[in-house]
Order: sequence, then C-alpha cells, then structure tokens
Amino acid sequence: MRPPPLLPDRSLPVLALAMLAVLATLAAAALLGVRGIDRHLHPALDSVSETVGRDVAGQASRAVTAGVPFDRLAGVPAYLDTILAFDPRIVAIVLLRADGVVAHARGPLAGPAAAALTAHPAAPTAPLGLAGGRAAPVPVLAGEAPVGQVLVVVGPALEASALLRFALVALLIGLGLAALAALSARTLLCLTRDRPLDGLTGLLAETDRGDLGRRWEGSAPGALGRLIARVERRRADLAGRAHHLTLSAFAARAGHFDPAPLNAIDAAERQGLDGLQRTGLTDPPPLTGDEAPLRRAAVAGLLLAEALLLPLWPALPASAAAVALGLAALPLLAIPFGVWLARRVLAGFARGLIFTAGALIAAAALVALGAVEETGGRAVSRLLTGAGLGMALAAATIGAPRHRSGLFGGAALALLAGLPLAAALAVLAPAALLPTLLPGIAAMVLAITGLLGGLTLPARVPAAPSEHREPAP
Amino acid sequence: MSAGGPLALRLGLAVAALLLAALLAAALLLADLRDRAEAELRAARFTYTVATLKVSLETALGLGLSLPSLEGAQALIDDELARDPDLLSIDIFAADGRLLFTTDTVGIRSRVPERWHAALDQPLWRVEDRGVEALGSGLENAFGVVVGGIALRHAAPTASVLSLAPDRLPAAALAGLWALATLLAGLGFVLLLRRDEAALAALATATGPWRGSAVRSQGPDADRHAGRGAALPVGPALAAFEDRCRMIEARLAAADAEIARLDRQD
Repeated sequence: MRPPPLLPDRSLPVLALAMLAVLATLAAAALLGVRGIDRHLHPALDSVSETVGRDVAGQASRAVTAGVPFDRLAGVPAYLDTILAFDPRIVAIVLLRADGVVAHARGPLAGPAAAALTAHPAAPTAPLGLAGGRAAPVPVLAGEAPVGQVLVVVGPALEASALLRFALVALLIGLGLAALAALSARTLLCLTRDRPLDGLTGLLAETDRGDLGRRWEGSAPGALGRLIARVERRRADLAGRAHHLTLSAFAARAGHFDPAPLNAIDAAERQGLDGLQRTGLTDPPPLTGDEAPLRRAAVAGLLLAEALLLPLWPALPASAAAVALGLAALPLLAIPFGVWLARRVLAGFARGLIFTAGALIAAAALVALGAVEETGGRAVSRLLTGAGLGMALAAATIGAPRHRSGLFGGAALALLAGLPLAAALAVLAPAALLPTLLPGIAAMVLAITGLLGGLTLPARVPAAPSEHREPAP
Repeated sequence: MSAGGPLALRLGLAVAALLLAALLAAALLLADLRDRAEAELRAARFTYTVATLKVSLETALGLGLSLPSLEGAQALIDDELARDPDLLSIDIFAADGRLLFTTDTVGIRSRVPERWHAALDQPLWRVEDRGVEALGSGLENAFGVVVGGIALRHAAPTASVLSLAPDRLPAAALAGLWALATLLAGLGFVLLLRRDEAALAALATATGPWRGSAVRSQGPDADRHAGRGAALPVGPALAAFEDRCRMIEARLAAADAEIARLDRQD
C-alpha cells in the first residue's frame, strides 16, 4: 500500500497558473496588436477614401464648373449608390457644402457619419475617423474655388472574417502553448518535488523497516533537498553506529575462549542490531519515482501535436460536419487498436518499452504527416499516429496509481475531444494561414514531446520488497 | 524570494520561455493579419482605379471611337499615375497585345506580356511577376467586343511574416507585456509554493546538524521551527522517523555499553 503523500498536491493550482499566464498573455497581446494594426492601417484607409473621393469630387466638380449649383446636383443618390456597391468597405459617402452643412449622405452608416460631421465645429481639413471608419476630405471645385467637400467613409480596417480567422488561429496556438506550459510545469513538479518526495518517503519507510544501508541517488533543489540530505546524514550516522557495534563485538570476542562470554557478547550484539537489516553497498537503489505523470505528459504532448496537425489535411470538400468527422475518425479509430495491441498482444513486455515504442511510432508518423502530400500517405500516417498513441496511452495508464491519474487522464481526454474541435477549426479557417504556421508549431511540440519521452524512459529497476531481504544476525 | 525559490524559479523560467513563444506566435499572426489587411486595402484602391479608368475609356469607345484614336487616354493615365505614388505604370493595349498608351517613359516595350493578353476575357485579372503585381481589365466597345485592355502595375506588398519592424508592431508593448506576465507568473508560483517551502525549510532547520539529537530536543527555537512544518504531513512523518532513530540509537548504545562491560569483565 502506498504511504500518504508528505506534502499536499499543488499540481492543479500550479498547472492552472501556468496555463492561465500563457492564455492571458496571448489574449492581451492579441488585443494590443489588433489595436496597433487598426491604427497602422489608417493611412491605407485614408488612401482608399481619397481615391474614391477624388473620383466622386471630380464628377461633382465638372457639374458645378458647368454651372449646376452644388445644392441642386441631379442624380446624386443613384450615383453614390453605384459607388457604394463597388466595395462593402465603403460604408458612407457624404457631400458637404463649403459651410460644413451636409448636402448629401448615402450608405449604411450615412446617418452616424452625417451626425458626426454636423456636430463637427468646422468642415474637416484632414483625414478623420467617422462612424468606425476613416474618411479623407476631397474638395469639390467650381473652377478653382472650393464649393464643398466629399468624404468617403471606409472601414473598418480589419474585416470581421479576418478577425475571426485570427482569433481562431490564436486560440488554437494559445491552447497548444497552454498545454505545453502545463506539461512543462508538471514535468518540473515531477522532477523537483514528486520524485524527491518519493525518495524521502522511501528513506523514511526503509528506516522504519530497519534498512539503513541504502541511499537516494537523486537530487532536489531548495529546502526539500536540504531536508533529504539531513535525513540521509541521520541514517548514515545510525548505520555507522551499527557498524561500530559490530566492530566492537568483534574486538571484544578476540582473546575469549570461554563460550559463556562469547555467547553473552553475541546476545548483546544481536539485541543491539535487532530490527536492523544487513544490506550490501552494491545493492541497487530501491527508490524510484512514479514516472506515470511524465508518461501521461508525453502522451498529452503527442495528442496535442496530432490535434495541431489536423488542419494539414488536403483540400476540404463536402460539408463541414462530414469533413470534421472524417478527419477525427482516423486517429480516433486507431487509438483503440493501439490500446488493444498494448494490452493483449504486447502484454508480456515491460510497460516502459511499450510506451517508448508507441510514442516513437506516433512521433514518427506525425513527422511523416507533415512531410507527405498524398492523401493516402496522410491517411496511413494518421492511422499509425493513432495506433502509437493508443499504445503509449495504454502503457501510461495501465496499473498507474489512481491518485495522480485524474489530471492527466482528464488532459488526455480533453485533447482527444480537441481533435474534432481542431478539425472544425480547420474547416472554419480554410485560409492558407494555418498550413503555413502549423508545421513549425508542430515541430516545436514534437521536440518537447521527444524531450518528455526521453525523460520517461525507465532507467531504474524497481526494488524488491524489503521483507525478502536477509535479516540481521 | 527566500521561500519557494528554486522550484518557483524553474517554473517561472519555463513559463517565461513559453510566454516568449506565445508572444512570438502572436507577433507572427499579427504581422500576417496586418500584411493581409494592408494588401486587401491596396487591392481595393487599385481595383477602383482600374474600374474608373475602364468606365472612362469605355464611355469613349461607346461613342464609336477606336481605342488607338482616343487622344485623351494618355493624359488620363498620366494624371492617374501622378496622383498615386504607389503606382509604377499604367498601360492601355490593343486586343492583340500591342501597346497603345503607356506611362512607362523608358518605352522599351512594344507589346504587353502574354499573360496579360491571355487574361483579357476575365472581368478583372491579377498577374504577379517578381514582386510587381499587374491588375487589369478588358475594354469593351458598345457591342460588347473586347477591343483591348488596361493594366496597372504596382509593387506587390511583401506578405512575408519576417517583415517585422519595430515601428509597425508594438514591439516595446509586447516586450513589456512579456516582462509583466513573467513577473506575475513568477510571483504566483512563489505564493503558491511559499507555504510548503517555508515548512520544509523550517523542518530542515529544526532537524539541525542531527548529531544524535532529536528534532524535539533542540530547545524552544527548534520547536518553533518544527511547529511550522508540523501542520503538513511531512511533519509527523519526520517525527516518527526521529522516534525510530532514537530507539535504534538507544538500543545500539545499550548494546555497545553491554559489550564494553563484558569485555572489561574478563
């Protein structure tokens, strides 16, 4: 039975903080950047406004120069409607008299634009923001004399579809990086806290069993490391005393030939060493940390890479739902096969070996997925990815202690559920943006996954239970 | 940063690296968004210019004039080029590809590229060649026959995500955001782990050099330190460990004394 943990589990708040930091920073950067881009695009909007306004002003100027009063220009609304129909970004066209009074206003946002101009103290002389867009004033001339102005309102700078695509991709990347942050935090917690605590637990348990000869070979930073070092020194001190007793008994026996004192010395030595076990210095270290969290972290990383690479599917035909289902189906169908393979066919092999094989198959198939162009090759890659993931998933979860499986089991399930989500995102964002960015991100994920996978390789043989060791004389 | 130092520091560094990656990804996405939006606005502007020129020229063609005989065409495209500094050239060409009017003052061309000529049947076409985009349209007479075309050339906007410049993206703001987020995350980790680390440090201090003495036998200061860690499960576990050590120690001492006595007896 596993002893109770020595420290409360802080994984959830630490992981939540790591994920929150990444997501909140990315969201803030996105908002900041979009506002910056909006400002940056003002000159481009002004140019469009000026180009269109110059054309409208040119038509009006010709009529006014020919003698038609600016207020009585015929057919202006119909003409402005043809201009408005040219581009949906032109949301209003306003003709102002020289005194700043609105003569004509057309367009979906003509009302707010006219109202804003009416509230303006004087006719604008420079490009300005109007009704959420930008407008550059262009004069209407009668000969050389200005008789009015044309303001073509163009905007907004960023279209809703572009913003939606940006938001979806940013969300996808944010989720991926947040998952990576969680994996990194979990790995650090495992290496610098969970494993040393397991080591400390083992040292205390070994002391309780009377085994003073073993040492924990790991290292831990900070106070935990100091505490473990002191516990080890304390145990070493006791072991030295036990060794001293053995030597004293040996020395005391020298020169005695009468069995009575020899027996008495033997009895005193046995009494002193009662409950202590004799272990050799060459015994393997018995204490191993629980590697299941790292294995689950690696599986989660592979699942994440798979989810990120989903949009690499070639041209998306038919309906969105069918495509999303089809994309998600291949790896999802293959995962149970991998689990079955690990549990039944490879049941005789070590769990770590199955995990490593599955993770390597999945990682190689993911790399191949990014490299091949043909649909058939990608289908095979996805099937192999699913099978590898299934094997790794099975090896990471079978027989693992329950108290730590919840979080990463949940993460794995969430990422499994994220596969169709990523497919849906791929359908919603068919622009070339996703395929251009994703291979780089996937490579980064794979690199970290490989690192985690390397950390999970079983380096130590679990110790035999202490009860079977040789008792003290 | 006394308590929670090393682990919080490692967590903070890991998160800082990922925040950097997140901000780099955000910068790339934002640059892409900016370049696309800018390119679309430029395209809208030039498309409008082409459409305006097309209407002007087709109005004249509708009167029965032939395209080569349009005397005002050269002035029209010259004016348009003068008004827009982003334009490289405007060409008007016949249906067979022969160049009729152009703002290209070098004048080494007599025919337009074959790709322009081939695209005449499309209402609006775009051809990009070595960073220069040509935008054009066919010109129809009153009978709907394509008698030529008009093409406008402009430098295609660089859509590369590497074209990041400090003045185009809020680089300083992103750097500040990174620093702030890293600081806040680091502080959060310190606060989250502070209690555990403080308790562990207290226990490590309370156990002292451990030269055969117990946690609870080192005076009131040790008691105070140990008390901070006693609330955590590690406290009772260490106390039990110390009890066990003291018991072993006492037994070893007693046996040692007994053996010494037996040795002296003879």
